[in-house]
Amino acid sequence: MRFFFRRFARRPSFFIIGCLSIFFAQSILNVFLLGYFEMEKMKEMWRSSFTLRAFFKPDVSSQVVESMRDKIENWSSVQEVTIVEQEEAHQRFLLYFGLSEEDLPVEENPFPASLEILPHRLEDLPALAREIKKIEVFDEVVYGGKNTENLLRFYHFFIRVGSIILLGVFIFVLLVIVSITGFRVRFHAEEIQVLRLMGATNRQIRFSFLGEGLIEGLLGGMSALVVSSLAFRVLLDFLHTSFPTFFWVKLEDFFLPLFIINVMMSSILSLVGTVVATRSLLRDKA
Amino acid sequence: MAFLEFQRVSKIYPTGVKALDGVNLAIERGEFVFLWGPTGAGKTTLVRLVTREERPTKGEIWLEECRISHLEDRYLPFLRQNLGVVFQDLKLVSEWTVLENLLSPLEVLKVKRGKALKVAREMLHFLGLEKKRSHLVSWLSGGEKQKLSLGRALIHRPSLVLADEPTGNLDEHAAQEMVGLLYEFAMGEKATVIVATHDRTLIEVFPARVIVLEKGKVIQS
Repeated sequence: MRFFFRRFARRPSFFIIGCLSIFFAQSILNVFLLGYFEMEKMKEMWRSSFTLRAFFKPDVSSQVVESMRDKIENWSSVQEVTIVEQEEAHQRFLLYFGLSEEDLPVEENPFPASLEILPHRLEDLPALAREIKKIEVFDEVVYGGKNTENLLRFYHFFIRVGSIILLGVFIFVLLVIVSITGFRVRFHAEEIQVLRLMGATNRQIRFSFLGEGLIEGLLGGMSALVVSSLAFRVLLDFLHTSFPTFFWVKLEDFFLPLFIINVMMSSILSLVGTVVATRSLLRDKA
Repeated sequence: MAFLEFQRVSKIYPTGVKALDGVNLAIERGEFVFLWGPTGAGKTTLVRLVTREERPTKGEIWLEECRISHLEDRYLPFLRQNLGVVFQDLKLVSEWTVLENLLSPLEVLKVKRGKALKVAREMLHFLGLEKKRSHLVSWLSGGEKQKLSLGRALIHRPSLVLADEPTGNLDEHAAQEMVGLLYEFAMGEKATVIVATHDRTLIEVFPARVIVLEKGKVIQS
């Protein structure tokens, strides 16, 4: 560690460039994480809003309805199944439209019994609907339909494109770190040569650079965390105030994962970069 | 077997220059030896063979019954940790201070900071560089750099000290002071010291064994 402080005190430029590269990569990752957590929040809200409703054919008996409920409830993708009897469907209709029994007598009840199905994940809804449609006792299956599919399509697009961009940024930053560390190792060639002649092992020399890389990574990562958190707070406060009915994620909900990911990613980036650079430069030198 | 032995050692560089030619040499533990010879006699090559900066083309070199000429590269740090070397070109880190340079062998040996600083203070006093401890190497005079290089070679109390032209850029008085420090250390620590030099006056001042090298051959031992 002493070697690091010496190098930093005399040549801080390498360290600052390394920190800035990590800061840049981590900030982009944080924006992606904000989007991801927002999408997750939306998915969760939509999942509870868009339950799947499967309507039975008119002549289906209550025993069949119950056996179907038991069967579907056992499916791994299903969280909860509720039976809506014909009478309840009738009552709900009247309540929804503010009608009375005289407007639509029970004898004329046109509503069939149905199952309300809540999946574990929003992504399971379309597949679940397709499976249920195949069962003969059901007449019609309804769920969020296009809205849900659009949201899912956007979610998957966001994840795919975001991952590709992130991967690109990470490879770029890794190359920057490898190059900076390479420069740094070459720049300190005199020091490395002297340490070797004093009997320093490759591991000792590599560790001094690894320590430097780790501090660089953590400092860059933590700066990105602080700046991103402040920016997110301002942005989310604005969104909560301007569009209060929409389900915006709160910073408190994802700060811990954001913190953990920042620490992990910045350490991994800097350590991998330093290891790659020092391995090739220190190899075969005795 | 002697503490340090050269057995029919030859060194031919890729350019074809024959630096050493069948050198046989035995140096006992605690000996103070001058390796004397004109420029190009092979003194530096001999030192570099012991520090394993070079490998011999032929022959074997033994140090404390260890065949260092054939030592695998991964064991080199352990050999070098037990040597103290004053390099001809000093090999001081110009960006470090006097203290930092002096501490480097102790840091490599992972000596605790407090103990290392205590030893470094004693060494600075021994060298007369106390007031320069925070100075960068680039601010030092030639003589001070030589002293610092000597201090770095001695600070971890090695059993074998190699000094390659340690008085190269010094006037007669400073050169004698420098070798005097080395002599004092050798007597105090019972260390084996080999001083490669082309300076005859040093040999006349300090009573020690003299090995004469000429054109890569030992002509007097």
